[in-house]
Amino acid sequence: MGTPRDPNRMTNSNTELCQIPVRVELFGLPTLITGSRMVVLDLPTSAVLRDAITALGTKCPELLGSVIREDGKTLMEGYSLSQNGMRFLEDVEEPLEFVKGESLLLLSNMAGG
Amino acid sequence: MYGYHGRALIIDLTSQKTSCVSLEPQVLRHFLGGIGLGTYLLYRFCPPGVQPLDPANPLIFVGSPLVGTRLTTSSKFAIITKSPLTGFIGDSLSSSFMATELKGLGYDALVLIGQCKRPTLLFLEGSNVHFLNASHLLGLSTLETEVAVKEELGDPRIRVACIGPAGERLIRYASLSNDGGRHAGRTGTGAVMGSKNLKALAVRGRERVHIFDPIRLNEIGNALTQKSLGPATSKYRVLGTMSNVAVFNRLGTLPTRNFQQSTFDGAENVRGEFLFENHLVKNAHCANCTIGCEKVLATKDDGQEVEGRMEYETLFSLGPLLGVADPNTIIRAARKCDALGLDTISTGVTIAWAMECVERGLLNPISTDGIDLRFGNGQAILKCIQLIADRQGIGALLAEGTRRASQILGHGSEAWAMQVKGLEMPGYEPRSLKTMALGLAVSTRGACHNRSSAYEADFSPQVNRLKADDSRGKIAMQSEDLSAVLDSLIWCKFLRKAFDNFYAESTEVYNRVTGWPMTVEELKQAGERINTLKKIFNIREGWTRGDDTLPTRVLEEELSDGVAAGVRLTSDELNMMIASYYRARGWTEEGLVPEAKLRELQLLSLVEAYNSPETVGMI
Repeated sequence: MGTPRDPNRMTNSNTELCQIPVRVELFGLPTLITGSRMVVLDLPTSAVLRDAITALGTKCPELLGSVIREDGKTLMEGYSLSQNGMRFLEDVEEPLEFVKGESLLLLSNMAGG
Repeated sequence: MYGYHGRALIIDLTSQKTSCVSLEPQVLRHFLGGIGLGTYLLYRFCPPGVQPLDPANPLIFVGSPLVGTRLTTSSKFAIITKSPLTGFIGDSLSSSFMATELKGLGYDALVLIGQCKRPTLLFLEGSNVHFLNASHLLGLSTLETEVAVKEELGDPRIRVACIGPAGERLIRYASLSNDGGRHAGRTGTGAVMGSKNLKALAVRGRERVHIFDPIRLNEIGNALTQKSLGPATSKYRVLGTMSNVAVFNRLGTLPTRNFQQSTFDGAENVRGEFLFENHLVKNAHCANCTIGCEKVLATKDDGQEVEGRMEYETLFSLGPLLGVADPNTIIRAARKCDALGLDTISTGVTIAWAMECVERGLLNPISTDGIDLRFGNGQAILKCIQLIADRQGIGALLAEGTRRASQILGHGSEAWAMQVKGLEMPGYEPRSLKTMALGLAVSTRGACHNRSSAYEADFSPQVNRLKADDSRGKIAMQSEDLSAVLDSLIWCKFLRKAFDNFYAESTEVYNRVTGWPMTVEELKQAGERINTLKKIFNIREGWTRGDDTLPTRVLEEELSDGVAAGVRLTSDELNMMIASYYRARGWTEEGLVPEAKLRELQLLSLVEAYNSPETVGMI
């Protein structure tokens, strides 16, 4: 189920010491709330999804309560994060294993129209 | 009886006689209302094999048990007929005050058969039925017709459903309009109304709705209203579905230039966020709706200012699909379609087909009446829309829809006619949304994004949207059955995330309205029953396994751009998913419904009573 992670991604036993800039692209309401279409988070290479959400809430506190829950750890109902537009993320403990140049997309998971 | 009236009014437009049929509690419990009850009535009253524009094809208006309550989004009604576009079931939903007035007539459904001898305004006032001359209304736009009818009848509380010039000229994807801007689109219900020489239906109901437990229902309604104003609907309340454009573009799922690409290089100025900040005038609400998803936009160029209602499907089909990056053109085109009474998706997809024909040299300026019908030419699009409604020039061909138009033109143009079962495709690129691909292929309505919400799985961690597998059948089935319950009770789909447990909460609402004990399992089975009966109707009307498919372009071309570049969907993959869907439904490998399933769903006696003799035993 879901999009499998790339088995060729390199891991490093010292990854927790390294940070990597990750672009977070914003769509819809988050764009209007923050006034931005993209923010950059510095995440440890060992980051899990919860870390990314927490970092986003810290960088953009105006998203708390409307897009990110007040505790800063999970997204509100109706929002998802997608890694590079390819796979949607759910498990907040899932390691992201980002490499340079990759993105997270914060978007509504409700379509219709 | 609570929530229902227990009867349907049959109006013979030819003889101007009326009659009444009772709707037994079991029928109402089994089919709920809306699309479900409408499907039941269509199966009963539509003669097998009838041509859709024949007077004998019924045009059915159906309410629901929730209409007349104060539950948010409950003011909706369904319109069901045999579609002149597909030849299969044609079902649409519309909203607002018309729903309440229809129910106030004292019937759960209105079945119109026959054909008026002259252009007619059918006025239903309480128990009185008036056949009024509508010759003076011919040629009026949808909004002009509503205003004229209300003035003529002298009662501002009268609600009007009408057709525009497109319906009068039997454009196969003509829509039906009501309440100053609501439209029952898709499948051509407006053309059926036009074939009956019926320009407008005016309604003034008098009867009140009786609710079994109004106190408890009020508590439930208040709680639901609060949730409807929260994060579960924020997308729809603020930006509306226009916000899909930027997301779909980024994900490589935005059909562009007749599905030749899945990203649009002009998306910047037609994305929802841009339109919200630069063109928004106001939100539009249906009656009884706390969400207000529809956005009214205004043009901002040097031309005369025009306002148009906008949502994603209209935006995609008159924008990226036609290569149009100018929001002013899209707003004007949307306004024009609404005024003429044309379904915007089918209009856009059909014009896109024609544009590709021009691109490939199959149509030229002579055959397009001097119009340079190339991708991106906004003026050409506006002229073309008018020609379609007038059935003039190239419009006469395009008025038939992409399937018929491509069959008439030939030269291989069927390969880029983006339709399923004759219904033009909505704004979801199936090659990069594989669950949605299945949903589009098997839907009884044709290529429809409303009767199946299969895309939800594709926008979630549940599946890999770019790869097909046999788990999709069950997902598509469950999505369809949920949609059937939503469309039959009737709830607005944009409310669905406001429920913590949709089936449990809906069951309680149903019980409080009607006083009839309904369980969650019974409600789920009602959804399955409704979808199965829709399929049986289609089988009776000539469905074959070959109708469950996708356009040649989708199955033979890989995506060329965006994050999903290189992805394709093969026939084998689609057939594998379709097989999984038939298995999930308990149907045969050929997609037929076995007798055991009919018994399980308590459909056998209905099918035997109204099936055509040559299909008995083949279902």
